[in-house]
Amino acid sequence: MGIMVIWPYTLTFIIRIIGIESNMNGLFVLAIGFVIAILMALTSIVSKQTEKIRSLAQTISMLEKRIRDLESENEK
Amino acid sequence: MKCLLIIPAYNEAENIEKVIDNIVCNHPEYDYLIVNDGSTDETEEICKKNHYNFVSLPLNLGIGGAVQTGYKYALANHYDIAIQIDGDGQHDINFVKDLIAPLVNGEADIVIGSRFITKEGFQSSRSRRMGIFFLSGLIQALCFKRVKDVTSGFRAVNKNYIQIYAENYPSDYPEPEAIVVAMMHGGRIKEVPVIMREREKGTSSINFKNSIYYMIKVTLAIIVCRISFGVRRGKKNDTINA
Repeated sequence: MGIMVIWPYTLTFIIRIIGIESNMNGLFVLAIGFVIAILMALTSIVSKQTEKIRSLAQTISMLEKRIRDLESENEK
Repeated sequence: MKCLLIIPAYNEAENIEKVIDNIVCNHPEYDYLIVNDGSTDETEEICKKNHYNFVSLPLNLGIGGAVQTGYKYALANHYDIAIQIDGDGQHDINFVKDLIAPLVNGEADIVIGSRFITKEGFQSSRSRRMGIFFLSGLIQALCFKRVKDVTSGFRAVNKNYIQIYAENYPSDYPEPEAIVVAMMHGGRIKEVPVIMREREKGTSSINFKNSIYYMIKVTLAIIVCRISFGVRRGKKNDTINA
């Protein structure tokens, strides 16, 4: 996308290769394609992070229980 | 046989004392673990005050994350059988022995307490039964096996599946999806008739507005789960053939 901003002729060139007549239509198609790619990348990152947060929370809770158990043993 | 009762609890302050006292007094042969799923009410204080055996999640993970915590705990403490029970008193502890019997005999890997076999006790509303029937049919279409009460949260699993569920347990509304996970691992699933009670206090996590979301979400999740295991299984076969 950046290349196309700096050298606008690359856009026309790509669009001619694909076979789109109007420049604006080609730009829209490419832009939507980029947006979808970014969206999917971000979605996959969110899913991975959700998984990591879940695992962290579970580990913390189990460690907290262990601390509690050890403390109550010490008190006895 | 070490048995662990996993009791996920989210804002169950009104019910939890009764459920746990019943286990402690009448069924001391089972260990239990309350998983407090980031409750906003006094659930945690009640557990602390009564010195219950509980873990407390720092944030609300939803039922799937809470139950998985229980399976992880069961795995870490070398339990042979883990039994899931709701914290609202719907499930009768007296049926636990029926539930674990097939596991002890080695007849099944996963046992589900089903209210639709003998059709006794609380049967849920008509619309819910239709939803359950649909999901049951969907799972049968995808995995070629019929499970009647797919949304039952009353189930017991053996050591093998404690490990599988500790590693891989679906989130959000996990019950039907967990069945598919088990089936894809080649688990033997058995249903045992149980009698469920209507919940006494508090409300179900699924109300009318959520129910539409629930159906769409669970349907998609089951299909995606089935597809992803199909892909993984294909890869496994390839490596074996290669």
